[in-house]
Amino acid sequence: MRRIIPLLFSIVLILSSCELFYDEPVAGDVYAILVGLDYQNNTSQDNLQGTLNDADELHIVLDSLAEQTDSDYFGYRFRQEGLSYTSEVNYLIGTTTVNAYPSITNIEKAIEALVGATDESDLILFSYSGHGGEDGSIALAKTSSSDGEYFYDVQNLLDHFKKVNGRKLIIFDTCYSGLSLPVNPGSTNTVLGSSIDDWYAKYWENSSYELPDIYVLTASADTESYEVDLDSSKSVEHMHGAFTAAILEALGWGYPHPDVEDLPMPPAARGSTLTVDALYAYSKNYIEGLPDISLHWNLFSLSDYIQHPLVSGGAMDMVLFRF
Amino acid sequence: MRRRYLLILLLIAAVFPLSAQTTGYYHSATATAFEYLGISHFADEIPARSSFAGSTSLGLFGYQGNRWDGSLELQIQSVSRSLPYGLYRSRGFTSIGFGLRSSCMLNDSFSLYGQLGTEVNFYSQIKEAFASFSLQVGGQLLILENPTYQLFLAFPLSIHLRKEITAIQVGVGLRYHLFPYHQGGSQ
Repeated sequence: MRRIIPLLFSIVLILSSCELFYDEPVAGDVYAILVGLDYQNNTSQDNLQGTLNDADELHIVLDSLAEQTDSDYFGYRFRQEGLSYTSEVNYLIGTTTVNAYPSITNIEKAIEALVGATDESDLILFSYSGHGGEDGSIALAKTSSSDGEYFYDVQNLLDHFKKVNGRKLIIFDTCYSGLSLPVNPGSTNTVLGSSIDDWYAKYWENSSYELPDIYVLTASADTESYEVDLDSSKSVEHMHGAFTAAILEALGWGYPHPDVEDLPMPPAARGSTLTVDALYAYSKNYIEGLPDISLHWNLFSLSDYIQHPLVSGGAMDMVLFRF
Repeated sequence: MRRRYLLILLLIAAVFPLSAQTTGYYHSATATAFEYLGISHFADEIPARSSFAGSTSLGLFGYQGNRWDGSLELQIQSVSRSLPYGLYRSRGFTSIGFGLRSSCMLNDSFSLYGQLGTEVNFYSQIKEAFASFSLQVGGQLLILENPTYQLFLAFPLSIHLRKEITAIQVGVGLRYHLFPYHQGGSQ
């Protein structure tokens, strides 16, 4: 016994020093595809007022965060605004020219263009602010007034991103977005409904967990998501998707907006790192603090307005920025 | 200052007189601090990630004979996220589960024990849960005893079997036995 205990302690001590002996991987460039649609050219969908602000302001704050962390930033905003079915803006992504109108074809083309442009150390963000279907699909832009094929299966989007090198964070600020959360082989979501039987069944399931390079953050579980007006004076509207407003504040872009040249350390950061989980936890708290859309009880009923953000499961959290 | 410490030691010695033999049904409480070393089954940036863990268990029902004892334990453990390294960190979680524990006394003051358990685990920051199994072995040193109480210093080595990670835990803890239906007596 006297020999075994020191031997075990020595083995554990050696293994637990991994963090000290291995060279840390360095973070690379930051790429962002930011999609916002107001649906004014789509009579089948209600107009949205905060989605273009979502894309525009994420672009500002990500650019600033990349600068703070000494990374190069490549941001591409895909905006559907007004009645037009195309955009005057074209982006050169890698070696591919892509029109900035957020149709299914253009979004797929933009992701394909990233395949050759990024490497393993890069961070790629994709955000979508718009309507979502009850099957978890997203409503991209119509290419003409008669186009009826504009709902896009999120699994297709994730399949396209699988080909892109780097760590990827996909943000869906849309209704029913939790339904598009990829199933994790290691753990089970408790908001979408699971029981102890499911947790044990998953343990014995013949599936293996890989270090994920795609994380998905969603505005809601299997319910609707909402927009909020950030201007409390109500004299000037400043609309955002509630979830993106939360993400923006978590990244240091609260309202009224700070000076972009002098952004504070993101409030969601812990120590010197900002991770997906930290962003999620901050956003969830923010949403819970919104009285109109969060869960609240009274003596007789549960409020109908419930928006519960979700995030990819599994054993690992991913670092977005290191300061 | 030294006089105060001496007084506290004397007080403890008076409450827990040494060399009392205790047998019968008992309840227990254990508190342990661990280093939690998660060895991933997948290709990670490093072979193992370090976290810290704190564990509490309550022995709901136990029986101690002259050399053997066994108990059913309700265990709760909290594991921190891993130390910062690279572009990933392992997530922290809280566990709750049951275990069966048995020990064998090698001499008057030292015993070896083993414990088998299963837990459900909830990640701290996200709404995901998973199941796991655990195996624990260790030694425990009887440091204080009277006819109705025992206090042990324990050195557990635990294996936490998760689907994607196997963790080795090494720690130190205190275990307290309470004999409400004491049958033994002082030697």
